[in-house]
Amino acid sequence: MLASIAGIFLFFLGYSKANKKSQKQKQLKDLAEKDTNVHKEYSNEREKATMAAIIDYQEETKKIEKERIKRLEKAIVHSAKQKKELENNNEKLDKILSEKYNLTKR
Amino acid sequence: MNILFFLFLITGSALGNDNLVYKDIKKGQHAPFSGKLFTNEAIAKIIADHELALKQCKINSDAEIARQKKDWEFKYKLLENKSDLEKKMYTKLIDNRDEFIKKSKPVEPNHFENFKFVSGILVGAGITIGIAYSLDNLHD
Repeated sequence: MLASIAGIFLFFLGYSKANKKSQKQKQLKDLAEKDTNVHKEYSNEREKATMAAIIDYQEETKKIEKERIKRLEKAIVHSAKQKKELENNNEKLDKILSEKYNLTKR
Repeated sequence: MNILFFLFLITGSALGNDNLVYKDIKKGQHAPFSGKLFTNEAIAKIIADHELALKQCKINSDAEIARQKKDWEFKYKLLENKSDLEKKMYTKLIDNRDEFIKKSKPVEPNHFENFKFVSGILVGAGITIGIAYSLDNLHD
C-alpha cells in the first residue's frame, strides 16, 4: 500500500518535471520558428531591395548612354554646320585662326 | 572658292611666334613664303574636326564621370539597404528573445530546491522504513 502511494507520488513528480521540460522545448521551438521567419523575411526584403537598386542603376546608366549619344550626334551636326559656315566666311576663319590658334595674318 | 589660304605652320616652338603666320592669296598669285597651301574648305575641315574631337572628348569624359557616380551611388544603395534591413532583422530577433524571456517562468528560489531535497530524503526514508516494517511483520 505504502509502496504504491510512493509509486504514484514519484509518477506525478516525474510527470510534472517532464511536462515542464516539454513546455520549455515548445517555447524554444516557437522561438526558433520565429527566428527562421525573421531570417526569411530579411532575405526576401533584401532580394527585393537589391533588385530594385539594380533596375534603377541599369535605367540610370541607359539614360547616361542615351544622353552621351544624343550629345555626340548634336556635336557632329554642329561640326558640319560650322565647317560649312567657315568655308563661306573668310572673316570668321581669320578670327578663329588668330584667336584660337594664335596665328598672325600677313 | 577662289581665295586660297597660304598657311605656314611651324611645329617646332624654337622658331618662335614670328613664323606662325598665314596669308590670303588668290589663284595664280605668288606665294611670299614656303609652306603648305590649303583651300578654305581644308582649313574649315581641320578647325571643325579639331573642335569636334575636343567636344567628343568632353562628352565622353562627362558620361564616364556620370557613370562612375552612378556606380558609387549603386554600391552605396546596396550597403544602405543591407544595413537598414539588418538593423530591422536584429531588432526583431531581440524582440523575439524578450518575448521568450517574458513567457518563461522566473527562476525558482533556492530554498524550494532545498525543500525538495529534504522531502525526497524523508519520503525515501519513510518508504524504506515502511518496507522494512512490512517485511518484518510478513511472517506474523
